[in-house]
Amino acid sequence: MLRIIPRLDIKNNNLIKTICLEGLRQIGDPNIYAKDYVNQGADELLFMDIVASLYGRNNLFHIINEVSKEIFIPITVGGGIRSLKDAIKLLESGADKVALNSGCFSDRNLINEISNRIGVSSVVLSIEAKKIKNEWYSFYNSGRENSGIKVEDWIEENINKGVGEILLTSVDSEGTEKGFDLKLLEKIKKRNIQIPLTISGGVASIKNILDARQVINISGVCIASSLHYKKKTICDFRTIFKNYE
Amino acid sequence: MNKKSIIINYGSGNILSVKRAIEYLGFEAEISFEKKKILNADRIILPGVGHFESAIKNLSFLKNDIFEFIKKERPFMGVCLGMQLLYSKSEENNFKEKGFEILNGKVVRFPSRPNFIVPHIGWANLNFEQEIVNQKIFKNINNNSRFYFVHSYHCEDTDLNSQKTYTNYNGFNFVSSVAKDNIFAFQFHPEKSSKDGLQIYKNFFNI
Repeated sequence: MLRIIPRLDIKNNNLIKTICLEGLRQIGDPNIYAKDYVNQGADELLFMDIVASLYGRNNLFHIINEVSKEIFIPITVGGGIRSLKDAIKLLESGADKVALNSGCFSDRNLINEISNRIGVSSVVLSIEAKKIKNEWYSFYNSGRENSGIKVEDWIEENINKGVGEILLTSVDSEGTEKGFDLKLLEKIKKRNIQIPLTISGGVASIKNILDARQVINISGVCIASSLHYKKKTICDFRTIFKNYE
Repeated sequence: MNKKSIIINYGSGNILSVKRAIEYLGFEAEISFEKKKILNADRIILPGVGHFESAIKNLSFLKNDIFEFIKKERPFMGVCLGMQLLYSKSEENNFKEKGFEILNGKVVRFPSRPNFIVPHIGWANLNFEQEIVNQKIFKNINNNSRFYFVHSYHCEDTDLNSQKTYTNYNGFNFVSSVAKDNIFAFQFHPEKSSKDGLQIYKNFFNI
């Protein structure tokens, strides 16, 4: 069953929204939005500390600690996780899964180390993909730095290190509400990924979801703008997927 | 002595969310790894995220105590790996280390097939066996309710005296809950399954 995952990008304890990971706008108190999404029937929540990598640390412990006392659906947290210690601290605050991106470039062993300890199913490989000419590259530090590594190669390098699922963000589509970058999906489809894939960026309608599913088998979809700006509710994305395997 | 509900802590993940779910409902449970406390508990929860082999090694010194506890007919709940540990053996460690052998059957990996994504992560329906409807643990929970799963292995239960729910993943049917006497085991995570999941904890504490 397709997972509908509200994505909450956080800066300094505030829920914010960006377009192409730039030009951020303040939305409100993440705690209130998170609870609302759970009541609407969200399958999971994704919290991203979007300035963490720049400061070198994740600052969401407090928020996660509070929301997880009242929210009983899976919570994934990402941003600024540089060590096993960081990952464990987030799990001890109430996260169920950690999403790793920037830290994996500076320490190519980070995924192994974390998943050996907390289990493969709690480790999410977060990829920020940006198109340059006709190739997609894995970016880090909130879409600012280019690793120079193609997305499909990055997936291949990491998939056997102990990754339970992949979160693929299209930086170019992010915040546009114009649908996910389907060409990017076509590109990675050739690599035959056998673990769950969640897409994030631009998804704002059921049609956007169906278009993506035509290309590749996705198991989750992140939604932000259309929920935060209250144009849609979780139910609007659910109707036709109710009995969709 | 004041009896307590114990969540067995053997170094696995998700213990905190189990405790928080219980406290949210207004019940109490203590996280513990102490033999004495476990033997004297009024109910036990064996949670679990992690690897079968390391879990069974960490728990081996408690094996007899858990047997004793169950014999006293007090409520016992196993969640995810905590369910799998109740069987005789698991493919996760090539069937080497023995499980608790409290339930009959073994733990096997999902089949390797093209487009069969493993781990199974996400929400899926429980299909009730006829008799399980009468189990108090499923009070106020409807057939076909959705629960949250995260697992690569599942239990092949061969026990004729237990009642079960089944769940379909990609056309493959596996045992998602087992109820037998005072033992309740779930492959899914009730503590991550929103209202219906909380209802299971509520029912467990009311047994």
